Amino acid sequence: MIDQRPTGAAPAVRAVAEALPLPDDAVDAALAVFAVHHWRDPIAGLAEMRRVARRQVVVTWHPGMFSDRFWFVRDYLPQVAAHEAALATLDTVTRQLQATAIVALPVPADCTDGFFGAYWSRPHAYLDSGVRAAISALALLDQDEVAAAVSRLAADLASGRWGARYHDLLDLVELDLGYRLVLAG
Amino acid sequence: MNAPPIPVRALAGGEALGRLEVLPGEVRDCAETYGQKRRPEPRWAARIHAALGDARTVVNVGRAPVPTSRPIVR
Repeated sequence: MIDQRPTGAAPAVRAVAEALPLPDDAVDAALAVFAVHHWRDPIAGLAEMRRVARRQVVVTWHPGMFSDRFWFVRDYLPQVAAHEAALATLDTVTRQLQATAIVALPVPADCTDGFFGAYWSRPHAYLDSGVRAAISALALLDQDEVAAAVSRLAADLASGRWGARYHDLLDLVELDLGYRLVLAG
Repeated sequence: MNAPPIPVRALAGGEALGRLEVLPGEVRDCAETYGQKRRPEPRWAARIHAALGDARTVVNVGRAPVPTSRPIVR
């Protein structure tokens, strides 16, 4: 992970969110982008963000909204919904932090960060194993189920079925899939 | 699991870091494509910067790509 960081990135240390290597009130703000759901103890990690910083900024998502609005989950891989229901996402973050605002983060049609919902208007991307490998939600699922979903998508793209159903999406410049920016503190 | 301590002086004054990233102590196997496919989305970065406001020191807890344009305070 550290090896893949771009040159010029901020200094990095290896630590765990549940025990940040910083004294109380050490920094002005603590930021977590698509991170909280990966922590072993998200509640402890969020408490650490409050301990070290007076302000917290978190990027997370509403899993119900995501499953309802994202065609790949809704039509091809509904197993994602059950998996994500157990994760620490928007509800946990807003309960554990003193949230002052929740801002929608619609996904641009040409989004450069290849997270799960990034390719909503570029469906062929999900056929690429390299794209899927960089998406933890897919990497952590049963790979036979993912392969079956990808096969169905490939067939629907080849037959024109996907296009017939979703051509309206291709006119949009962005789409709200439930990703949210939480401001707290 | 034991994280290296950060010298307090590194956060308070002359050598203060504008940003410090904390990566998971237990680094999972990570796809070789991660760094190639996961590049900060500039329109989200703008919203994140706005949310950080006037914060001069920021700890980024996690592994996702985040905007790097916020200057490092020295």
